[in-house]
Amino acid sequence: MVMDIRHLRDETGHGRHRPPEEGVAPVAAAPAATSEPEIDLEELLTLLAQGDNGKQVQAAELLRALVPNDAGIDRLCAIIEDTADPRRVPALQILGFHRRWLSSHSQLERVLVWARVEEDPEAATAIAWLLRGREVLQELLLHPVASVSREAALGLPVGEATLEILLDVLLVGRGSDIDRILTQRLTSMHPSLTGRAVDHILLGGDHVTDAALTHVLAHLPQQQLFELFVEGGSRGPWTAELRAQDTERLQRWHHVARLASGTLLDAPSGELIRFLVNRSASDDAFARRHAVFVKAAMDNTRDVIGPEMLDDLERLTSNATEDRLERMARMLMDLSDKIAGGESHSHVADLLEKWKSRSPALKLKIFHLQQGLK
Amino acid sequence: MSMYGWDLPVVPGPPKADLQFRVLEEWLTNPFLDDDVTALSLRLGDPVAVLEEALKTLCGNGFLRATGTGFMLALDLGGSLPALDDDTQAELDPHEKAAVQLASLSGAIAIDPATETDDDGEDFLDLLAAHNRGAAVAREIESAPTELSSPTDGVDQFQLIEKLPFGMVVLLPTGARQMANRQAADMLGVAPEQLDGATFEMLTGVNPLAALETATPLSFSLTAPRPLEVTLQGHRLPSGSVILILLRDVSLLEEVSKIQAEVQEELFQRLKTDMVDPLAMVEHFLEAPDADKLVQARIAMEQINWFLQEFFLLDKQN
Repeated sequence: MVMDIRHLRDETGHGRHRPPEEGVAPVAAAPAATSEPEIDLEELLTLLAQGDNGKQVQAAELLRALVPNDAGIDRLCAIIEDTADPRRVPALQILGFHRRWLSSHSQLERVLVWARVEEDPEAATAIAWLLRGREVLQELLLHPVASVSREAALGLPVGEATLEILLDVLLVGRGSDIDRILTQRLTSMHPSLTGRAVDHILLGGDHVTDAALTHVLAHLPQQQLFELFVEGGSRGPWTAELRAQDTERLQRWHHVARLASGTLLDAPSGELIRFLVNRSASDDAFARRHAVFVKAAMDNTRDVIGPEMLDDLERLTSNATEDRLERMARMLMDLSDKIAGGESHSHVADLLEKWKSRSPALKLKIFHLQQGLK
Repeated sequence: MSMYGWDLPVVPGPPKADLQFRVLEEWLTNPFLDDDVTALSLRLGDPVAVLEEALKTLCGNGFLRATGTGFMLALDLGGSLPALDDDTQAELDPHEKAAVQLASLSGAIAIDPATETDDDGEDFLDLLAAHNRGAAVAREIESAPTELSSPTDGVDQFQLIEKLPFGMVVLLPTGARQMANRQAADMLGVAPEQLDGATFEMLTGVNPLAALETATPLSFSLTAPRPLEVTLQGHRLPSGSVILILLRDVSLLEEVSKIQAEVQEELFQRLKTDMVDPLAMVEHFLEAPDADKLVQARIAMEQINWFLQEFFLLDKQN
């Protein structure tokens, strides 16, 4: 058996003085450790799989510290491919811990073959763990063994290539634990992928329930969701000459848009509020078009708004017309209790005073707002 | 638990023994697990802060050991039994702790002198001080309205008039100014000392003295220098006749009207593009019902509903 002990630390000396097993290739030790006795991988593996508690822990510690070389990898692969060997799971876990060897395409193909034919649930789970961070895990998301599917969900990278299968599994439902993991993965998705996710959702079939759709929509980035559905960014252009597929697509879009709008209003995030306030303050048509939505979102939000929103409003003050300033004042007063930071209230008051000084008319309007007259 | 068949002589104790056991079980199933706290949070579904505490306890009790960013099984899998008394103390919140300490002072609970330290007494005093501070703040809040509502003597009527949210001018029958606030001068765009009957007539084209001859108030609107609504009324007071002029800034109303006009324009523009065609489609279907056109008619109705929701703010649930 061959082991590379370059990474063996001085303090992890337990079991280091084990003699090599007969008939197994000796360790090709690094120069720094040439004086150390050779360590046998298979012996450690056997101890880990079948020894008593103390020896198991020592073996695990050594096997974490030692990096197997090419011959060691081949030996571990051979053990894994021998379905009668009781050390298969530890061997898979060692290969999963020392994963540099997996950078080779041929080795990855080899592991994929294991994944596709493996019948032992524990070994299949270890294979899924071994493949963590690889897009190929999408193949295992719908694996019949729940622990394999769970490990695939934990290790699946969220990107363009895996987004669709992730959404499909979430929309179909794979069990509460896996759904929870995938939901958290979806939340970590980059906002630029939202359009792609929405396109895929709009292609969804009739088997998807509204509850599942709502659940997925509630975990997509809200600002992008607003632009795509409430602003209508994902709606195709209206045409009087609708074809059958256009009709279905539009029908589906209206349905999903209603659900998306509902989820946004149900729990609007602080970031969405900041976006809406910024847009409303800088775009008159937007403010008019979405006045009711913005008001409802501000009322419904349970998030604490970051104090940076005050900086945004201060920045938007320059060159703002009086009606914009009035609109900003109205929004600011609606949100003043939800802005984080100990000094935010005095900052709000300062900002309102600054706007009041713009003109007597504006002063009067803001005064009326403060008195609750508007 | 796992293929390894670990035989633990000691299991994790409180606090949160169940969570500690679940964390440990992950490493007992896979001793090569390299999850950090964030990855473990995703795996187990528990918050990072709670897991950090559990991992700290597991490391402290010898079950796990920190390695770089991750953790691994410790050599002494037996671990050590956590001190139950310490945990019980740790689980008490400060108020409960204070209550226990208070009870011990009163003799209701005996505290082992061996474990009692001087610090305990100081902590208790701190807790009592915090409680007293809370009561003091409450008393301060209760007393505040009384102070605020206490009467103040000598209100300056001229200062009061300056604070009115509208413009006010009082003229004598000669046209001379008896009283005016700065709001009125600002609204008319003149200096306060220039504001008299003649200036008012020059600015508005209305002779204020005419108000003395009518029993009902005179009202008119101005658009420049800003939108104003002006009301004049003559009053015969015991000290003599005066003309009271009130000026109200109606620029807000003007703006509302302007916005309404803009909304109307936008609405009609959208009506042309988003309503006419779908309605024509529905009408066409109603005139010649055809199963093939049914779906198109329904989507046309969806389009109309969407439009109505956007502009007329229909209840989206309906």
